[in-house]
Amino acid sequence: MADPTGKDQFQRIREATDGETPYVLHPENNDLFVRTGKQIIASCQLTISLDLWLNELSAMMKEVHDWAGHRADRIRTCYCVPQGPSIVFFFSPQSNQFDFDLADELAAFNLHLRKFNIGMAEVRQVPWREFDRFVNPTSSRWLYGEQFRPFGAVAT
Amino acid sequence: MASSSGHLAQWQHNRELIPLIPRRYTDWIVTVSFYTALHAVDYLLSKDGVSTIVDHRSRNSVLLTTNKYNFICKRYLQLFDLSQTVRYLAEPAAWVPFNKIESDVFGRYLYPIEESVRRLSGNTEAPQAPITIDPA
Repeated sequence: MADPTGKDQFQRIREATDGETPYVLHPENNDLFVRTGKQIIASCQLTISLDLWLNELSAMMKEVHDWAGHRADRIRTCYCVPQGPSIVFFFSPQSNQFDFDLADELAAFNLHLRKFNIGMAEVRQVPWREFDRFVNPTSSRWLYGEQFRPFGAVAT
Repeated sequence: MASSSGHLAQWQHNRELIPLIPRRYTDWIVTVSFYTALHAVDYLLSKDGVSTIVDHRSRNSVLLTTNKYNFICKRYLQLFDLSQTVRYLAEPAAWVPFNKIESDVFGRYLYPIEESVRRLSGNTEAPQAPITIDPA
Protein backbone atom coordinates (compact mmCIF):
# COMPACT_ATOMS: atom_id res chain seq x y z
CA MET A 1 0.00 0.00 0.00
CA ALA A 2 1.34 3.41 -0.90
CA ASP A 3 2.38 5.69 1.92
CA PRO A 4 -0.18 8.57 1.94
CA THR A 5 2.59 10.96 2.90
CA GLY A 6 4.38 10.00 -0.31
CA LYS A 7 7.47 9.10 1.70
CA ASP A 8 9.31 5.81 1.60
CA GLN A 9 8.34 4.01 4.84
CA PHE A 10 11.33 1.62 4.81
CA GLN A 11 14.57 2.16 6.63
CA ARG A 12 17.30 1.70 4.05
CA ILE A 13 20.89 0.55 4.29
CA ARG A 14 22.81 1.86 1.33
CA GLU A 15 26.11 0.14 0.72
CA ALA A 16 27.74 3.26 -0.65
CA THR A 17 26.95 5.42 2.36
CA ASP A 18 26.12 2.93 5.15
CA GLY A 19 28.53 0.14 4.28
CA GLU A 20 30.85 0.79 7.20
CA THR A 21 28.13 1.78 9.68
CA PRO A 22 27.63 -0.78 12.49
CA TYR A 23 24.06 -1.97 13.13
CA VAL A 24 22.81 -3.94 16.09
CA LEU A 25 20.40 -6.78 15.25
CA HIS A 26 18.35 -7.65 18.27
CA PRO A 27 16.60 -11.07 18.19
CA GLU A 28 13.99 -12.03 20.78
CA ASN A 29 16.48 -14.20 22.63
CA ASN A 30 18.71 -11.16 23.12
CA ASP A 31 21.63 -12.84 21.40
CA LEU A 32 22.75 -9.65 19.72
CA PHE A 33 24.56 -9.32 16.41
CA VAL A 34 26.60 -6.34 15.42
CA ARG A 35 27.09 -6.13 11.67
CA THR A 36 28.12 -3.43 9.26
CA GLY A 37 25.79 -2.40 6.47
CA LYS A 38 28.08 -4.15 4.00
CA GLN A 39 27.91 -7.42 5.97
CA ILE A 40 24.12 -7.30 6.13
CA ILE A 41 23.87 -6.82 2.37
CA ALA A 42 26.37 -9.64 1.72
CA SER A 43 24.42 -11.97 3.99
CA CYS A 44 21.18 -11.28 2.12
CA GLN A 45 22.91 -11.89 -1.21
CA LEU A 46 24.27 -15.19 0.07
CA THR A 47 20.81 -16.31 1.16
CA ILE A 48 19.43 -15.51 -2.28
CA SER A 49 22.30 -17.45 -3.91
CA LEU A 50 21.64 -20.42 -1.67
CA ASP A 51 17.94 -20.36 -2.50
CA LEU A 52 18.77 -20.27 -6.21
CA TRP A 53 21.22 -23.15 -5.86
CA LEU A 54 18.67 -25.27 -4.00
CA ASN A 55 16.07 -24.53 -6.66
CA GLU A 56 18.53 -25.62 -9.34
CA LEU A 57 19.37 -28.78 -7.43
CA SER A 58 15.73 -29.63 -6.94
CA ALA A 59 15.00 -29.11 -10.66
CA MET A 60 17.98 -31.25 -11.61
CA MET A 61 16.88 -34.08 -9.34
CA LYS A 62 13.41 -34.01 -10.85
CA GLU A 63 14.89 -34.17 -14.33
CA VAL A 64 17.11 -37.12 -13.38
CA HIS A 65 14.11 -38.90 -11.85
CA ASP A 66 12.03 -38.39 -14.99
CA TRP A 67 14.93 -39.38 -17.25
CA ALA A 68 15.37 -42.63 -15.35
CA GLY A 69 11.61 -43.25 -15.37
CA HIS A 70 11.60 -43.16 -19.16
CA ARG A 71 14.19 -45.94 -19.12
CA ALA A 72 12.56 -48.14 -16.51
CA ASP A 73 13.21 -51.24 -18.59
CA ARG A 74 16.96 -50.65 -18.25
CA ILE A 75 17.40 -48.77 -14.96
CA ARG A 76 16.82 -50.52 -11.67
CA THR A 77 17.71 -47.74 -9.27
CA CYS A 78 19.24 -44.28 -8.97
CA TYR A 79 20.72 -42.63 -5.90
CA CYS A 80 22.19 -39.18 -5.51
CA VAL A 81 25.29 -38.56 -3.38
CA PRO A 82 27.23 -35.35 -2.69
CA GLN A 83 30.95 -36.04 -3.07
CA GLY A 84 33.25 -33.11 -2.45
CA PRO A 85 32.26 -30.33 -4.83
CA SER A 86 30.23 -32.69 -7.04
CA ILE A 87 26.81 -34.24 -7.06
CA VAL A 88 27.12 -37.85 -8.19
CA PHE A 89 24.20 -39.88 -9.55
CA PHE A 90 24.66 -43.64 -9.19
CA PHE A 91 22.59 -45.79 -11.54
CA SER A 92 22.24 -49.55 -11.49
CA PRO A 93 21.10 -51.18 -14.71
CA GLN A 94 18.52 -53.94 -14.84
CA SER A 95 21.24 -56.03 -16.45
CA ASN A 96 23.90 -57.79 -14.38
CA GLN A 97 26.49 -56.51 -16.84
CA PHE A 98 27.66 -52.99 -17.52
CA ASP A 99 25.10 -51.65 -20.01
CA PHE A 100 27.14 -50.00 -22.76
CA ASP A 101 24.09 -48.57 -24.52
CA LEU A 102 22.82 -47.07 -21.28
CA ALA A 103 26.32 -45.69 -20.65
CA ASP A 104 26.15 -43.85 -23.99
CA GLU A 105 22.88 -42.26 -22.94
CA LEU A 106 24.20 -41.44 -19.48
CA ALA A 107 27.22 -39.71 -20.99
CA ALA A 108 25.02 -37.51 -23.17
CA PHE A 109 22.74 -36.87 -20.20
CA ASN A 110 25.74 -35.88 -18.08
CA LEU A 111 26.58 -33.16 -20.62
CA HIS A 112 22.94 -32.10 -20.64
CA LEU A 113 23.04 -31.64 -16.85
CA ARG A 114 25.53 -28.80 -17.33
CA LYS A 115 22.51 -26.54 -17.88
CA PHE A 116 21.88 -26.66 -14.12
CA ASN A 117 24.01 -24.14 -12.32
CA ILE A 118 25.00 -26.27 -9.35
CA GLY A 119 28.65 -27.04 -10.05
CA MET A 120 29.81 -30.40 -11.32
CA ALA A 121 27.41 -33.31 -11.73
CA GLU A 122 28.72 -36.81 -12.42
CA VAL A 123 26.99 -40.04 -13.40
CA ARG A 124 28.15 -43.54 -12.52
CA GLN A 125 26.87 -46.98 -13.44
CA VAL A 126 27.43 -49.65 -10.79
CA PRO A 127 26.15 -53.20 -10.41
CA TRP A 128 23.11 -53.78 -8.25
CA ARG A 129 24.71 -56.82 -6.65
CA GLU A 130 27.54 -54.72 -5.17
CA PHE A 131 25.73 -51.41 -5.00
CA ASP A 132 26.66 -50.75 -1.38
CA ARG A 133 30.37 -50.90 -2.23
CA PHE A 134 29.88 -47.55 -3.94
CA VAL A 135 26.89 -45.96 -2.26
CA ASN A 136 25.82 -45.88 1.36
CA PRO A 137 22.07 -46.12 0.91
CA THR A 138 21.41 -44.74 4.38
CA SER A 139 23.35 -41.50 3.85
CA SER A 140 22.44 -40.85 0.23
CA ARG A 141 19.27 -39.79 -1.48
CA TRP A 142 17.17 -42.38 -3.24
CA LEU A 143 15.82 -40.84 -6.44
CA TYR A 144 14.32 -43.57 -8.54
CA GLY A 145 13.45 -47.26 -8.78
CA GLU A 146 14.08 -50.00 -6.29
CA GLN A 147 15.49 -49.14 -2.88
CA PHE A 148 18.64 -51.03 -2.10
CA ARG A 149 18.79 -53.33 0.90
CA PRO A 150 22.10 -55.03 1.63
CA PHE A 151 22.01 -58.65 0.61
CA GLY A 152 21.29 -60.84 3.56
CA ALA A 153 19.37 -58.10 5.32
CA VAL A 154 16.04 -59.23 6.68
CA ALA A 155 13.08 -56.91 6.29
CA THR A 156 11.35 -56.22 9.59
CA MET B 1 51.57 -31.34 -15.85
CA ALA B 2 54.23 -33.34 -17.69
CA SER B 3 55.35 -32.45 -21.20
CA SER B 4 53.27 -33.52 -24.17
CA SER B 5 56.09 -35.82 -25.29
CA GLY B 6 56.04 -37.48 -21.86
CA HIS B 7 52.31 -38.17 -22.16
CA LEU B 8 52.75 -39.43 -25.71
CA ALA B 9 55.39 -41.90 -24.51
CA GLN B 10 53.22 -43.07 -21.60
CA TRP B 11 50.22 -43.42 -23.92
CA GLN B 12 52.28 -45.81 -26.03
CA HIS B 13 53.78 -47.49 -22.96
CA ASN B 14 50.40 -48.34 -21.44
CA ARG B 15 48.99 -49.38 -24.79
CA GLU B 16 51.79 -51.91 -25.25
CA LEU B 17 50.85 -53.58 -21.98
CA ILE B 18 47.21 -54.26 -22.92
CA PRO B 19 47.79 -57.20 -25.29
CA LEU B 20 50.06 -58.81 -22.71
CA ILE B 21 47.29 -59.08 -20.11
CA PRO B 22 45.64 -62.51 -20.12
CA ARG B 23 42.01 -62.40 -21.20
CA ARG B 24 40.66 -63.54 -17.84
CA TYR B 25 41.83 -60.25 -16.31
CA THR B 26 39.18 -58.07 -17.90
CA ASP B 27 39.28 -55.72 -14.90
CA TRP B 28 42.93 -54.92 -15.56
CA ILE B 29 42.43 -54.73 -19.32
CA VAL B 30 39.79 -52.07 -18.66
CA THR B 31 42.01 -50.29 -16.14
CA VAL B 32 45.07 -50.17 -18.39
CA SER B 33 42.84 -49.12 -21.30
CA PHE B 34 41.62 -46.25 -19.17
CA TYR B 35 45.16 -45.12 -18.31
CA THR B 36 46.06 -45.38 -21.97
CA ALA B 37 43.17 -43.06 -22.78
CA LEU B 38 44.12 -40.78 -19.88
CA HIS B 39 47.61 -40.18 -21.27
CA ALA B 40 46.18 -39.66 -24.75
CA VAL B 41 43.87 -37.01 -23.30
CA ASP B 42 46.65 -35.43 -21.23
CA TYR B 43 48.81 -35.35 -24.36
CA LEU B 44 46.11 -33.36 -26.12
CA LEU B 45 45.50 -31.05 -23.14
CA SER B 46 49.22 -30.44 -22.84
CA LYS B 47 49.45 -29.60 -26.54
CA ASP B 48 46.51 -27.23 -26.05
CA GLY B 49 48.27 -25.47 -23.19
CA VAL B 50 45.90 -26.63 -20.46
CA SER B 51 48.01 -26.58 -17.31
CA THR B 52 45.39 -26.95 -14.59
CA ILE B 53 45.16 -30.75 -14.53
CA VAL B 54 46.10 -32.05 -11.10
CA ASP B 55 43.69 -34.95 -10.61
CA HIS B 56 40.80 -36.86 -12.18
CA ARG B 57 38.28 -34.26 -11.08
CA SER B 58 40.08 -31.34 -12.69
CA ARG B 59 40.62 -33.31 -15.91
CA ASN B 60 36.96 -34.39 -16.03
CA SER B 61 35.88 -30.84 -15.36
CA VAL B 62 37.90 -29.47 -18.29
CA LEU B 63 36.47 -32.14 -20.59
CA LEU B 64 32.93 -31.49 -19.39
CA THR B 65 33.10 -27.74 -19.82
CA THR B 66 34.98 -27.41 -23.12
CA ASN B 67 32.89 -27.94 -26.23
CA LYS B 68 35.95 -28.83 -28.28
CA TYR B 69 36.35 -31.98 -26.19
CA ASN B 70 32.69 -33.10 -26.20
CA PHE B 71 33.32 -36.13 -28.40
CA ILE B 72 36.19 -37.29 -26.20
CA CYS B 73 34.34 -36.41 -23.02
CA LYS B 74 31.36 -38.65 -23.75
CA ARG B 75 33.61 -41.66 -24.22
CA TYR B 76 36.32 -40.86 -21.71
CA LEU B 77 33.91 -40.42 -18.79
CA GLN B 78 32.32 -43.79 -19.54
CA LEU B 79 35.70 -45.48 -19.54
CA PHE B 80 36.60 -43.60 -16.37
CA ASP B 81 33.39 -44.77 -14.73
CA LEU B 82 33.93 -48.35 -15.85
CA SER B 83 37.53 -48.46 -14.63
CA GLN B 84 36.65 -46.86 -11.30
CA THR B 85 34.02 -49.53 -10.75
CA VAL B 86 35.41 -52.74 -12.15
CA ARG B 87 38.59 -52.85 -10.12
CA TYR B 88 36.63 -52.87 -6.86
CA LEU B 89 34.22 -55.64 -7.77
CA ALA B 90 34.33 -59.13 -6.36
CA GLU B 91 33.20 -60.48 -9.75
CA PRO B 92 34.61 -58.07 -12.35
CA ALA B 93 34.26 -60.50 -15.26
CA ALA B 94 30.52 -60.65 -14.63
CA TRP B 95 30.28 -56.86 -14.98
CA VAL B 96 32.52 -56.69 -18.04
CA PRO B 97 32.83 -60.05 -19.82
CA PHE B 98 35.75 -60.59 -22.17
CA ASN B 99 33.51 -60.55 -25.26
CA LYS B 100 32.82 -56.85 -24.53
CA ILE B 101 36.46 -55.80 -24.49
CA GLU B 102 37.26 -55.47 -28.18
CA SER B 103 33.80 -54.48 -29.38
CA ASP B 104 32.93 -52.05 -26.61
CA VAL B 105 35.86 -51.05 -24.40
CA PHE B 106 38.18 -50.62 -27.39
CA GLY B 107 35.58 -50.05 -30.10
CA ARG B 108 33.37 -47.55 -28.29
CA TYR B 109 35.89 -45.87 -26.03
CA LEU B 110 39.62 -46.28 -26.49
CA TYR B 111 39.90 -46.18 -30.28
CA PRO B 112 37.52 -43.24 -30.80
CA ILE B 113 39.25 -41.26 -28.03
CA GLU B 114 42.65 -41.93 -29.60
CA GLU B 115 41.35 -41.06 -33.05
CA SER B 116 39.94 -37.78 -31.79
CA VAL B 117 43.21 -36.95 -30.00
CA ARG B 118 45.16 -37.66 -33.18
CA ARG B 119 42.84 -35.44 -35.17
CA LEU B 120 42.70 -32.57 -32.71
CA SER B 121 46.43 -32.62 -32.02
CA GLY B 122 47.35 -33.04 -35.67
CA ASN B 123 49.69 -35.88 -34.73
CA THR B 124 49.00 -38.68 -37.18
CA GLU B 125 51.98 -40.63 -35.85
CA ALA B 126 50.32 -41.18 -32.46
CA PRO B 127 49.46 -44.78 -31.47
CA GLN B 128 46.69 -46.36 -33.49
CA ALA B 129 47.36 -50.00 -34.35
CA PRO B 130 44.48 -52.32 -33.34
CA ILE B 131 45.09 -54.15 -30.09
CA THR B 132 44.89 -57.93 -30.06
CA ILE B 133 44.46 -59.59 -26.69
CA ASP B 134 46.43 -62.67 -25.82
CA PRO B 135 44.01 -65.58 -26.40
CA ALA B 136 45.35 -67.52 -23.40
